[in-house]
Amino acid sequence: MTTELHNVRGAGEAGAELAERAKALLAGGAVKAVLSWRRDLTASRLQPALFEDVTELGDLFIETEPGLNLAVYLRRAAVRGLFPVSIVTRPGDLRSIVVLVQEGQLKAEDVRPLLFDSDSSTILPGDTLAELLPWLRAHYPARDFEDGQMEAVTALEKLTPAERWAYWKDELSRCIRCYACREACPLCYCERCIVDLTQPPWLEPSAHPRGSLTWNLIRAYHLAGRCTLCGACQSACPVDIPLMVLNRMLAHHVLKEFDFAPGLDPAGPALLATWRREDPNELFR
Amino acid sequence: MTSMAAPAERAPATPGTAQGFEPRLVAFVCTWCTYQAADLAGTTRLPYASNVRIVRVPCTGRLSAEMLLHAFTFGADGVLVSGCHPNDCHYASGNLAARRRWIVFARLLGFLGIPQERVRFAWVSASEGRKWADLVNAVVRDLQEVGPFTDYHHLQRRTAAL
Amino acid sequence: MTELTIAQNQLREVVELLLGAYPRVIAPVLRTGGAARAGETEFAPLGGAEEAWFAAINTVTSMKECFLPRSEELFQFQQWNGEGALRSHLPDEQPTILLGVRPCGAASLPLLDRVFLEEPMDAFWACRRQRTTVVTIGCAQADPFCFCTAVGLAPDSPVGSDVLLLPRADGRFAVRPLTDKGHTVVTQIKGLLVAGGPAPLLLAEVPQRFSLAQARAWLADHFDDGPWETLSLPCLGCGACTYLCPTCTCFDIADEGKVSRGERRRNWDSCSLALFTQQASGHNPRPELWQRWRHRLEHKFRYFPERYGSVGCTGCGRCRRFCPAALGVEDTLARIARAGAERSEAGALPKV
Repeated sequence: MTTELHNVRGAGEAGAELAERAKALLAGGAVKAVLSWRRDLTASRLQPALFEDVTELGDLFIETEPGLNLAVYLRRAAVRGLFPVSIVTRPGDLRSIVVLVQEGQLKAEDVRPLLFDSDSSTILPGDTLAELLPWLRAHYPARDFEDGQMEAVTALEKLTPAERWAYWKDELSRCIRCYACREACPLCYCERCIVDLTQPPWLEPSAHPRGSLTWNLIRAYHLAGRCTLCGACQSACPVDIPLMVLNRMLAHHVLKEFDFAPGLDPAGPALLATWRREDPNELFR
Repeated sequence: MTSMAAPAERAPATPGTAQGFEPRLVAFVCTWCTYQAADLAGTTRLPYASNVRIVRVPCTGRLSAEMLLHAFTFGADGVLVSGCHPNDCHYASGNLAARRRWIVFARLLGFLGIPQERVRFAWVSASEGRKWADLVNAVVRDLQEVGPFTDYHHLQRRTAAL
Repeated sequence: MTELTIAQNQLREVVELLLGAYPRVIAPVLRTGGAARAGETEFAPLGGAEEAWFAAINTVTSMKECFLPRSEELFQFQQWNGEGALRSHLPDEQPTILLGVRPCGAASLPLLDRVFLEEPMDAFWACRRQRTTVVTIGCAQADPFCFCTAVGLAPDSPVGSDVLLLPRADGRFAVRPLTDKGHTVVTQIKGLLVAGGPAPLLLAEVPQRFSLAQARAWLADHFDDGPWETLSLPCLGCGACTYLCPTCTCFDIADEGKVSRGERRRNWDSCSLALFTQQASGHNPRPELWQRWRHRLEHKFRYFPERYGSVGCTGCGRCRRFCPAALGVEDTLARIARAGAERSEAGALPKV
């Protein structure tokens, strides 16, 4: 849960370059604020920060572990009032911004993203969605499923259903229903979440294993074809539920089954709002 | 409401069934096709398992995953979703939207380890009364094999609390 | 002046003795599971002594769950045709040892007793409290998120403990029974106890990073005009901090099942969540996140002390340590205490 100090980047080149790019945008008036990270009270972790004043922008820090997805703050009224804003992103974060545009929650011109690629440890040139999309499309979704990312999913798929059930029953029963996963996710923006609809209650609100399993199942399902694997949910979870295993499994499934990957085309279709006549029919008797 | 005893936890076993376990099957069916088929099965006196409780909706496209889970929460051992064949939807494409939804949902349930016998999907048109009867019988038989869904129902009892 | 001691590496034997004498022993265990991080612990009833793990600075979830479960059945009901039945069971009364709590955990218990034991008394809470003996292990280590000293506690504070084990410089624990319950437990381990000569305690250094008095004064003065939006910006409005907090107790009552049969449950709830104060009329007095964050601070550091005489916080640091956005109450307290200390002459609101 805690981000160790070694994840705090910023003293090096990337942080300085990021600050220069952000300063240029802010000083030049292209944006009214910069959403980034700063060191917390004891310089032990990174916390999100909104900079409106160029003089406050020292070295910027970049969360290299999944951590928080800053896009979640783009729905905050205080931030919306300052659009356009610059926002420091990693690829999963930027793709989630694209999904927000796809779903009509944001306009492309509201944000000037700065994209950090941890694989190459570089800040990419460009600060608009249009400039950054080609790079995203060149590397994703392939990167989501390479280099051992699918290990946990594949290992579970090799088990029997009974073994898988035992695994997920245990993992999901740890849930305390804090909804940190939901609040950390930029794509969970429903004004009233399904779990909070009580008349009638569709999901049991109690943190007993059945209620918690159902909650996590439904949340994963509601993100199918939308989740861009930024990892903020699992990072936020105080009881270490392996949410990314569920998300990655579904992301891989929709890619294989429907040739679909979210967050790469702001004008693209939504997976479950569209259909093709050729969609597979094997499930149906 | 006539006076009657409180409903028992489980219906008594039908004589002759192998295990004595009578699964509870909830079927979500569309008004224009499968419900008509069920009607046809009835009017043509085709016998089929009475374990099924039919929930009629305008179109399979109206169904959401929460409804299926709701059925499980309230004691269903299995769920069946059935509607018009692709291209025959009364609302043009409701079933096609549903199809994609169910493919994804079924995959997720399978990944969690829920046996696929518990969530079944079919296209049954209005004239396919026999198909409906056969389908329900087959699904109920499969559910008798996998047994009651106590894995899910009883999860509530084992709280994570100390 | 001698005191009772045991060797620090004898904790496993202590656990074995306690497991033999008590039906339930709860201690920190290592977390397992898909995404668990190394060294993280949580409280769980022990199956065997080898499961206990005392090396973590503190558990992730607090010991609160031993007394107030995340979800608890209050009663089952059945009704049919005008006739009904209610079945309610209190928790069992099996004597329970809670071992390995830190002083910041034990100190929350007297605070929560004020909430739950004053009229009308909460029988569920009372039952678990009554059956449990709290054996606290003082802190030889702290991390940057601990702030017990800022709220009047310390790594060796005895508040709320029945027995206190304090690390000594000689590699032993001083064993201090503080209550009758505590004495009973210490009797169970008397075979391990050795009278030890005086030795200095080896306790963690927990620097005070802010003045509680200044923070509280600021809270009293700036309910309306404080820069709450800025202070609360990182907050996501989830319930993680409240659920991990040893002094948070809010709960929701939920009926589950159907009209003919079901159960009423008490579930943890959080004032951070948007619908916490949603009323049946549709009105919500705290619709904005900054209002809820303000409430959290004011409740813990103003309303609670006004009502109960002490702040509703033991400085365990979980809220800041595990907040997905690295916020936590200390972040705000430190900023407002600084602002309180720097009052400008013109009375302008200092920057936080």
